[in-house]
Amino acid sequence: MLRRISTYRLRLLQDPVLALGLVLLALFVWLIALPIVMILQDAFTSQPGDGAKTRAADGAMTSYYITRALASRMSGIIFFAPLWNTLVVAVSAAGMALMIGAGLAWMLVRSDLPMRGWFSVALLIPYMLPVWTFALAWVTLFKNTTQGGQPGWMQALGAETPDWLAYGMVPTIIILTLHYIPFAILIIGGALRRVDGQLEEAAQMLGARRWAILWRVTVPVMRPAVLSAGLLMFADAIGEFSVPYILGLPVQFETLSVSLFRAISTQQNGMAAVYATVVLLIGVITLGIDTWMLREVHRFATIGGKGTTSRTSPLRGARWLLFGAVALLFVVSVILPLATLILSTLMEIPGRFSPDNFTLDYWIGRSLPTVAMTSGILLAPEFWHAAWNSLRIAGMAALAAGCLGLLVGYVVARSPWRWLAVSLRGVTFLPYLVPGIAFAAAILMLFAVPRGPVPALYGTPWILLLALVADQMPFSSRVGISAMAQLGSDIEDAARMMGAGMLHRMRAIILPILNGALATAVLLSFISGIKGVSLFILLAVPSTDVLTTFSLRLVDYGYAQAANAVVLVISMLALLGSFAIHRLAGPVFAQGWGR
Amino acid sequence: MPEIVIDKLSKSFANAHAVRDVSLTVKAGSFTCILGPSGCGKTTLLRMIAGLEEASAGQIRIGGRLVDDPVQGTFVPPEQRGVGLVFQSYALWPHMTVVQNVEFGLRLQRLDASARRARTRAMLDTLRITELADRYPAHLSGGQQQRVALARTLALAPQVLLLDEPLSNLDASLRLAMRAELARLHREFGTTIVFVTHDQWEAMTLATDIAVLAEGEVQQTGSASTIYDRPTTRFVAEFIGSPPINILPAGSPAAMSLIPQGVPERDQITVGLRPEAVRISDRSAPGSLSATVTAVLPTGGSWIVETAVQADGIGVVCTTLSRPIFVPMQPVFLEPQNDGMHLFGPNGRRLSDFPSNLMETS
Ligand SMILES: Nc1ncnc2c1ncn2[C@@H]1O[C@H](COP(=O)(O)OP(=O)(O)O)[C@@H](O)[C@H]1O
Ligand SMILES: [Mg+2]
Repeated sequence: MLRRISTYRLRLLQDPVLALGLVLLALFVWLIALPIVMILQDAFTSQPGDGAKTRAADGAMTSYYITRALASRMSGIIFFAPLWNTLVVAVSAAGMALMIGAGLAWMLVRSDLPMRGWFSVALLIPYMLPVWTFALAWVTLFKNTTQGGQPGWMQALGAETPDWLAYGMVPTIIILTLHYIPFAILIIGGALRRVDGQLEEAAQMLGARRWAILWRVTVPVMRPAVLSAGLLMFADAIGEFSVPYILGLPVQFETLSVSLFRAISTQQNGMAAVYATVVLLIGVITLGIDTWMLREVHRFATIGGKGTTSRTSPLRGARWLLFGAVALLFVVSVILPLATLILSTLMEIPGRFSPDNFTLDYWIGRSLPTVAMTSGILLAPEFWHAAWNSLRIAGMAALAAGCLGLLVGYVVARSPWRWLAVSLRGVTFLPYLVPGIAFAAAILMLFAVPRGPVPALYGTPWILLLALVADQMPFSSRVGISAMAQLGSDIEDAARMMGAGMLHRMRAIILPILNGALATAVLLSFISGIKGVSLFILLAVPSTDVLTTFSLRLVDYGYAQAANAVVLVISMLALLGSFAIHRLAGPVFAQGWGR
Repeated sequence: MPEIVIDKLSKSFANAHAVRDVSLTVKAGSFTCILGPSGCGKTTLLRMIAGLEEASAGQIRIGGRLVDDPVQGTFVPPEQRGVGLVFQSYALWPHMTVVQNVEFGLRLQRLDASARRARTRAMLDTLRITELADRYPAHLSGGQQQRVALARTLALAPQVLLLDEPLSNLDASLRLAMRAELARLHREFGTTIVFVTHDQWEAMTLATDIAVLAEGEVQQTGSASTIYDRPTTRFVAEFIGSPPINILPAGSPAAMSLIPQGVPERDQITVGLRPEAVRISDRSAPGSLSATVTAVLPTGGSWIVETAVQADGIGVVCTTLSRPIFVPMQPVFLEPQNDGMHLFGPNGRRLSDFPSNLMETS
């Protein structure tokens, strides 16, 4: 026994990988696992101030919140309606995106559609933009008198839009569908490209007709990829916050993530924990199904084939018709929203297209006749403050997540203890299962008050930074793990033989070789940090606003033009970043689909 | 020029025993080969000697110094063992030029710049890669990469050089050149060299001493000719030799007819016949087996004659240096020569020499 312990100590001292691994594990248990456990716990413990309702001491077990959500007079309004809305939105958006995306993917990969090379990049643009860009564009166009303030363009042009078109479920579904179509194209198109064309040729040799081949060979082989894409979109849509938040308020349309947000903002932490738990459960179940199906995918090993001779099918008479449809989609999902937003920031009164109505005031004007925001966005100190916050928080978080991901990859590849590798992999993957807003709620509950040596972080940029780092870990640790796996251990052992210590090996061997992968991962994390909102909305206060939360705050105060201008700046940053990656590492948008 | 003594060394991973109870002495200044089929634990053994892997049990001593003993808790890290290892993959650092690769270890030893440059230059010259100095590994051929890997390791003047399958990634002509090169380096530096390979040709032509490994256990040690001429186990007999040794299963009529009467438990004995030690003739002789030619295959300098023993149809392959006069379907007689005949007991161990002695005297 004594000997065992002493060799244990010996290994810890001699093998810095173990020490590093244990430190990382402790860090991620604290940053990721602990908040999640705490929020699950909060759903069942009486929260401070709720004693009268729960009839329990603070911190004691209670089923009050669960009962209130599931089996009270209020259940229908506060729980089942949002749940229903959430499910309908997620199922419809994922389903429609899947169908449209599958058709588009087939046309882009396998047909003679004109300009398909150009379209296969251009149609991905909606996915690079923050999703609520579209919501703001929608409001700009369709807003009606139900909501006060400046009119929408349709209304200004004399057409009163009905509520169901202007707000609530319908626009939410349409916008999310447009947002997810590129993702479906990416996944299905990628799988289609890898399907061995010889499979289809073999069927053709046996005399199968074109439709029979598509239906009997191509579709079944593709099914796992298609279902997987659908589930991932569904899981993402469950946690989507910004679009239903912007479009739902005027008609009291709420999804679970919006209810969660409202519960937190009205200090109902117990109810917030219930919403978070439910959202989390749906996410876990969905991704569980996905993982289970991915295992099934191994039965379809041909998908990994070399993808020889993928044949293109002529579209014949429908060629130009379909071209028109695809071009229309591009206009609707990219040109129209961006143009609307740009124009909206240039018009004094919305929707009036007369030359004297155009102005640059919302960008660079001074002493505007509004209560707050009396100068154009580019002259407003709040904007620059938020921009600076965005850059430094997203930048530092991306750097930290990238480096931590590499370290995780290092430990996973090198740890002599398997359990350490397995648990590190697992804990860094956890945030992937948890929708951003639920994770933010969890982080908030952990860091709202001082705990041990850690002071209360709410109200400081640190809480945003930590949340973003944790949220990016699933992606960056995957990058680190696969990069280290490709690197192999010989390269490093060769340096070890010569007496290079772990730090020296990291600096002189591992980092220089992996810097490309690291740069791509950091840039992708950075973009997702710049355009992310659901993670931050609960955690930011005005003084720690980032661009996204600043823009939503402007929406809340009714400064539509200013909000649109900020979102345009975010979009521009996200697009620039995406193209930088495109140049740096080839078409890797597929990797960047984190939240 | 230290000696390496390995004593009852074992290594087990979570799911497998890679090395079991290996005891082996590598003589100082020898050129020793560890030979075995792939997956038998060669790399693991080499990595334990290098210090990249800790033993599960047993001891390793290099030059009398105990470097690994889990029971005593001794473990000397790789850089303090005076050992150099050339990886099977060469493991050149892809972001460094040839010079930078070779210099890396010298920098770690804090050699001053001029000494370092001189040493690097000398190594590049020795391995004849001076003109590649500024290239990156991606732009080198396999043979050139290997030279760089050797230069990088030899630059630190290790007392023991470990090579993992040094020739297996090279094509035929390069293998010959590299073989000569390794032999020259061994003479020049006088280091103790241990290399592992699954290739018997590599082992037989390079090594002064060979240890045959199977499933993590040492089967036999000795010189190339000892191992070929007097294999101690059936595994060694079958693993070494090309074409492989002919096996007449225990109890088969062919085997029985070759084992003299009076040997105890004759029907438990397996007979191995080296292909070059079987004479083919069209006339019967005492102790010969009647067989039928099934194929005659030219292999360049020699011929392979495949036959089937008439009594039980067992295939026996013979090699001859002269063009055979036989044609397929022709009945012939096989005359095994005593020096190429090996008898193995039911446990696969070589029987004492008495059967062949017996046959000579009879
Ligand atoms: N790091 C490891 N973890 C688990 N098993 C290993 C590891 N390294 C080697 N093995 C196993 O040990 C056995 C011997 O491997 P190795 O020494 O590489 O064989 P060789 O070099 O003779 O081909 C193999 O069965 C291999 O799968
Ligand atoms: Mg090996």
